[in-house]
Amino acid sequence: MRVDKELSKGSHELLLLKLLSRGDKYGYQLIQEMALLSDHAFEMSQGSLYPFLHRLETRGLLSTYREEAGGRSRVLYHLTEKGHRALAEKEAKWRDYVEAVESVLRGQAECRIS
Amino acid sequence: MPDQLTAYLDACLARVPESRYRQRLRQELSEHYEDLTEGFLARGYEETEAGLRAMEKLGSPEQLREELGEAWSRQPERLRRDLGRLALGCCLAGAGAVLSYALLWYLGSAQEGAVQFRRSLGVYGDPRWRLFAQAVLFAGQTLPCFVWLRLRFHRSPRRRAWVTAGLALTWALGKALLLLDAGNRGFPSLPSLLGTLGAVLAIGLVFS
Repeated sequence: MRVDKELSKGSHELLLLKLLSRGDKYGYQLIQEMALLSDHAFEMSQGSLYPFLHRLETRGLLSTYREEAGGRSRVLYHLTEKGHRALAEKEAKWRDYVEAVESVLRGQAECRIS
Repeated sequence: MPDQLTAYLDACLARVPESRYRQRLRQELSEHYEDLTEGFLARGYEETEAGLRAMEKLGSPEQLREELGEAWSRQPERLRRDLGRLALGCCLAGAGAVLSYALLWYLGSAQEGAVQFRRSLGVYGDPRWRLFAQAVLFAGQTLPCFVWLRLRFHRSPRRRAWVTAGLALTWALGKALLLLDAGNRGFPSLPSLLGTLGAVLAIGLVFS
């Protein structure tokens, strides 16, 4: 199942921050986990991932370091304190958004029933 | 690194100039490509096919060129480089001004010789001589800078533009300061200041 592109674009930041909150990862790992956990509903353009991550790093939400991972030297991304706060804020906004959409959808369903 | 990967990365990074950021992008994209290739090899693809599929997964060079170029425009390194070039232009103009005024000072201190020289040419007291001398000083100050700019930054109009801007800005500020301090010492009037600033920019455009 692929999610509508426009819908998924807005979620990439939230999803990447959440994945990094569970541990430091390198780029390929992030792409793989996102696709796996969402059953391929979210599949980001792989080359586009890096400018996206660099933007988050410029905003201070991520930091990077080089280390051996998966048998090779790689750049790993780490969620900073500021990133954790941003994630908490985004998750709260996401829940509010989903709740609002759900209540409208429930409302439509109730109108049809009545 | 295989030739096709090098060509692919060069195409994707066409809008990112040589910089630490470009090196970083190249490295990360190469490492990602290697991971993708390994995945396809593990699934039984031939090496060449695995490499091509990996590049497809990374994205089209046209799309990535735009995205990476935009990412570069937001990098702090880019602003530092532009300001550095502006500062370089200011230094060039300052050096040119120092040399020009050193020359003027020498001519002033050798005034007798200068007067004799002009008398021998029949141009003593001639306003055209004054104009000619000003043109020579102006050219001596700015033309070497612009020729150097053209040679040094011939592949990079953007860098040339920043250094030229620094040159023009410093030259204009220097002249403006002299104008404010002018009194009755025969320094350029405002129209001549604006005229010569326009000439500086025109030469910059020609040589750019």
